[in-house]
Amino acid sequence: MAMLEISNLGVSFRTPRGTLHAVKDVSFSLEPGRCLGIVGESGSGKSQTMLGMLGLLPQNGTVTGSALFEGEELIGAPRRRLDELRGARMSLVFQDSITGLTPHMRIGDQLAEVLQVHKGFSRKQALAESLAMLEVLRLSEPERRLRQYPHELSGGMRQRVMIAMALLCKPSLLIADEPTTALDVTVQATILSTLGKLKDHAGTAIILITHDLSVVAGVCDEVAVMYGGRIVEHAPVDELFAAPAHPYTKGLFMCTPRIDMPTGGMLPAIPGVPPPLNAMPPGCAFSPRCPEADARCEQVRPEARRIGNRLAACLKVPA
Amino acid sequence: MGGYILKRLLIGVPTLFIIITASFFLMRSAPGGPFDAEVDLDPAVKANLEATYGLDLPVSGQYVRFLGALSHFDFGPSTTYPDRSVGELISDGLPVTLRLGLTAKALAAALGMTAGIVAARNRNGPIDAAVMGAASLGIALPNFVVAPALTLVFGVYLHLLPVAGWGDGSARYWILPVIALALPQIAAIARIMRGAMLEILSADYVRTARAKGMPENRVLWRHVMRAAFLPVMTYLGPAAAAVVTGSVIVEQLFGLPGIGRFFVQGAMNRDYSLVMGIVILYATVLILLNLLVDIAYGWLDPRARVK
Ligand SMILES: Nc1ncnc2c1ncn2[C@@H]1O[C@H](COP(=O)(O)OP(=O)(O)OP(=O)(O)O)[C@@H](O)[C@H]1O
Ligand SMILES: [Mg+2]
Repeated sequence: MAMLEISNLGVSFRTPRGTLHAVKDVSFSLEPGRCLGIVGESGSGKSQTMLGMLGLLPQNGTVTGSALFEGEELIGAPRRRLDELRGARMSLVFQDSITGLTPHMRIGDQLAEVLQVHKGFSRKQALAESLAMLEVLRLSEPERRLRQYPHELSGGMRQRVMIAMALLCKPSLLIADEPTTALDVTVQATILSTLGKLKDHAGTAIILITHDLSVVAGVCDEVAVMYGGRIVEHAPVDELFAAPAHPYTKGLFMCTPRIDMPTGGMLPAIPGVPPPLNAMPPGCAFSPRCPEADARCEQVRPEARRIGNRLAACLKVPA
Repeated sequence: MGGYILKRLLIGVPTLFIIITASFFLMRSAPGGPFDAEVDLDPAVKANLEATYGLDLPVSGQYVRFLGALSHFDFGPSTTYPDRSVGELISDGLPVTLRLGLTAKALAAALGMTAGIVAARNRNGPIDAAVMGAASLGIALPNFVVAPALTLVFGVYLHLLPVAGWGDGSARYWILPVIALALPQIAAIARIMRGAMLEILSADYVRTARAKGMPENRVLWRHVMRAAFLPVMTYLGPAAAAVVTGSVIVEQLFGLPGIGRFFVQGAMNRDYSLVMGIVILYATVLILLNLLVDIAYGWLDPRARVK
């Protein structure tokens, strides 16, 4: 049985301009000890898919579909049950680590409470364990950090605190949303090797959202490419890198990374922008920007089809 | 911290001095004097009276005399209440005003924050609508409408509580004034607290706390509450200074022997010493409260902490 089985997950937001469907019909499954990379342009729905699955959507958001975690349905699960799972068996490292820590609580207390609540540790035990985790992640002067407040730490330090927080209870599923964006290359390498060890030795399943294709190549076993709220291609990492099938994926790989881009040269630029959520074309969402699209692509929405080891949602991909 | 407090207190001294000097000369420059109200006062009698109170001196001389007396905490005699010194009047009225004001503030803070929290937790539901509706009403209804209404219901119709007066100072006498004083503040605090809670509940760090599996009560108490106190503090701090001058209106309506009425009567009768006494009291309390608010800010928000 898969550790995580997502079927037809959808996320929509009530807004003054009507209901926006940010995530549509997302399905995938993940085995223990495997790492799934999720890539896609900004706004393609990567974060909202994860938040929806964990019951952490903002007030105006609704999630539909199914998410089985170790056989247990998460969608619609009571808060009490989600509290037992979140932070203990499945953890999330947020994208916005700068604002993600409570400004009026010491770092140590924010880390320790995870173990106090989930494991019933004493404060002292929990702080000792937290210290050890900060050392694993190579945070400088870890004892001092525990006594500090978030505003006294740099962005990179806060990000590592967030990662430490997620790892404290040794979760069986770790979701990391751009965990290394604020970090320099050496720290990034530490984090990625820590993730690699978790996967290989502890059997942790990892979902890694990133804009950095080299990170995907280094850590992930398989990749899901999202566009316009859907997974357009899902394939083993070596196959995807060897021969991307979907025209959007091809675009991602073909454009050479540019250093002068705001994202730090990670995300290759494809001409044009994704259609807004409230004006999706009836056919393929990528068709307006697709070099291979024809009239049929604009009208008929492509279903995901299995081609060998991979899934691709494109009318132009030969079976 | 101790050094910081000392520094702030020392800065308070020149501030107070400037306030005293400005008020002193402003009072004297207002038309009329303490003995101008009684129209048919014989000029000789008036001159005599003015000499008694030192008002025959030039203003600069009066100022020097006033400062001299003030340096040993003598505010001078009241012209409105002959035979009584301003110091006596204030120490008579202050306990009444303080008891009213502090009880009302505590009640307003406790009920207002609770109502705000309850409303925020039930946002956009019927409970939220009811609480916020009541709060809008509480803010819209002025004291001088609420106070007589309360008197009418609990005093006149139900005979549960006295209609007015201070009596022996027991609770029965101050319940209604406290409620009249607290109601609009409960409403204001409830709205502020609700707004702050809603804003913080959608903050990234609250989402982090939930993602860590913290139960909602722990999220509220450990991650939300302290930050939500900040705007309430901003409202309560300066407003709390009004506690010492009391609610002029409520004290008048219930006929209470607080400081509020001295303030009105002193100003209308050009009772220089009485007004100065109250101004000094008010300024001192305001300076101290501002310091207290700043210290509390530092406790609530480490980013505001002084190094
Ligand atoms: N509260 C909300 N109300 C309305 N729309 C929202 C809300 N939150 C997110 N969205 C929309 O949902 C879509 C998907 O957002 P999501 O955060 O999942 O993107 P992403 O793929 O994670 O992008 P990035 O790479 O920039 O993090 C976006 O178009 C966004 O504008
Ligand atoms: Mg995102």
